Amino acid sequence: MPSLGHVKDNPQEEKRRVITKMNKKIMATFAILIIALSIAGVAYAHWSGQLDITGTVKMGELIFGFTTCGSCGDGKMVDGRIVTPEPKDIGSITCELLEPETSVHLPTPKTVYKKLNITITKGYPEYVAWCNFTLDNGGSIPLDVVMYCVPADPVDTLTWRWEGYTVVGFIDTNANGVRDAEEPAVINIWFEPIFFGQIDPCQSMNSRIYIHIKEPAEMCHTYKFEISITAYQWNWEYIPP
Amino acid sequence: MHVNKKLIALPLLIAIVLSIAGFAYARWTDKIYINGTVVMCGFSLGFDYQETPSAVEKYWNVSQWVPGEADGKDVGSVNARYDVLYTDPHTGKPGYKKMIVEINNAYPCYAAFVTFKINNTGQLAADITGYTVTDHTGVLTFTENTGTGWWEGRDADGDLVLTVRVVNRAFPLQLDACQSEKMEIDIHVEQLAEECHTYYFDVAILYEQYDP
Repeated sequence: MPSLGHVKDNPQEEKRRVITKMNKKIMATFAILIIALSIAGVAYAHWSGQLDITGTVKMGELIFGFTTCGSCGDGKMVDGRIVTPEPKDIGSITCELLEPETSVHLPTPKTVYKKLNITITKGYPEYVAWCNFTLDNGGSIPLDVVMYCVPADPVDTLTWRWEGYTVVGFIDTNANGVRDAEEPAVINIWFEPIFFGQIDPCQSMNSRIYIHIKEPAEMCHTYKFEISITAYQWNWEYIPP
Repeated sequence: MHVNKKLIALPLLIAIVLSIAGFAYARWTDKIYINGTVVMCGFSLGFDYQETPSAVEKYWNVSQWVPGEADGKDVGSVNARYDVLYTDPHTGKPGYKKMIVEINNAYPCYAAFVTFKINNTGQLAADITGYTVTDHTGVLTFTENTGTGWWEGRDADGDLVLTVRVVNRAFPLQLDACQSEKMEIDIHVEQLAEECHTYYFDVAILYEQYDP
């Protein structure tokens, strides 16, 4: 093992001194290098580590729709009361479900329909018809039915506005957007019950829509209406700042 | 008999040379030694081996986070567990290097709070200097909101989707050997999170030796 140290002088001392002097310079260079590296080493090699947390957030889905429509019926409005059956079998009503959507999250997939299409044929003044339907939660989180809306603009010839819980279709002759006294109702629509509130996943609520054709309705016309029902996720009121 | 003087002188010369050399080699010497051994200490932090993480759901009610989900519903779910078991070779103490948090059927405003415990299973005090939040899939880009203390994860459209934070007294936090500290990670699903999506986040809790 090489070693370094002091030895007693001998005859070759001078030569050794020269060699030793050179060695000292070389060693000093190494020493400085080692010191520099050690300083750098402290900076780079100080111990550190990390703990890991991995997270996965799988989102659910909100699907609102209809699953059934049917049990339609009709009658005639007499003195503010619905008389059934229709005194003469004239008018008729049918309904169909359109635009299916199926959840991909539920263990048993559930298909709901985004549109309920109702067709009345051979309608006449004071004809009343209805259909039963269900509002369904086809998604994986609860929903809250919060709003029923009609278009702001006229649908073909009729303007639709809410009067209480009744949707009233009328001809807005002065185009002021409201039903004035001289603008009688042509069609009234209402729900029994008009449902507001929560529906849990896989659950549904029953409702019925009534369509009452009033006296001002004209012959051979086709009237159209559109009502949208809006649902939010049930916790929409609990939004943190 | 003629004896060559040179032959007589030769052994003598050899003897003299050897004696000189012998003096040089046989000079009494001795050495003493210092032997050193440096056993480095162990440096390790881990999630607690015995106490499993506890996850709770909360929702915002008026002005505070309240346990459970709105209106008492049971919609989303959260699960947390530890993974990657290790044993510190110096202390023999076990721990986990990873915690996995899984949230299912989440929705906007869903919030999960997971409490976990970190142990110093090594022999050297450690400074927990902070944490970072990333998404290894690259779908979300997390940046720290220094005002709120939440790390905000935004998608490619810049929509705020997920916020994450680790709650503690304050960072840096010094943890001596054998000491432990409870912390909490909060995950909040934001309003613009999309249905049927899966989002990921990765939190790295950073620590270093206490005297860097």
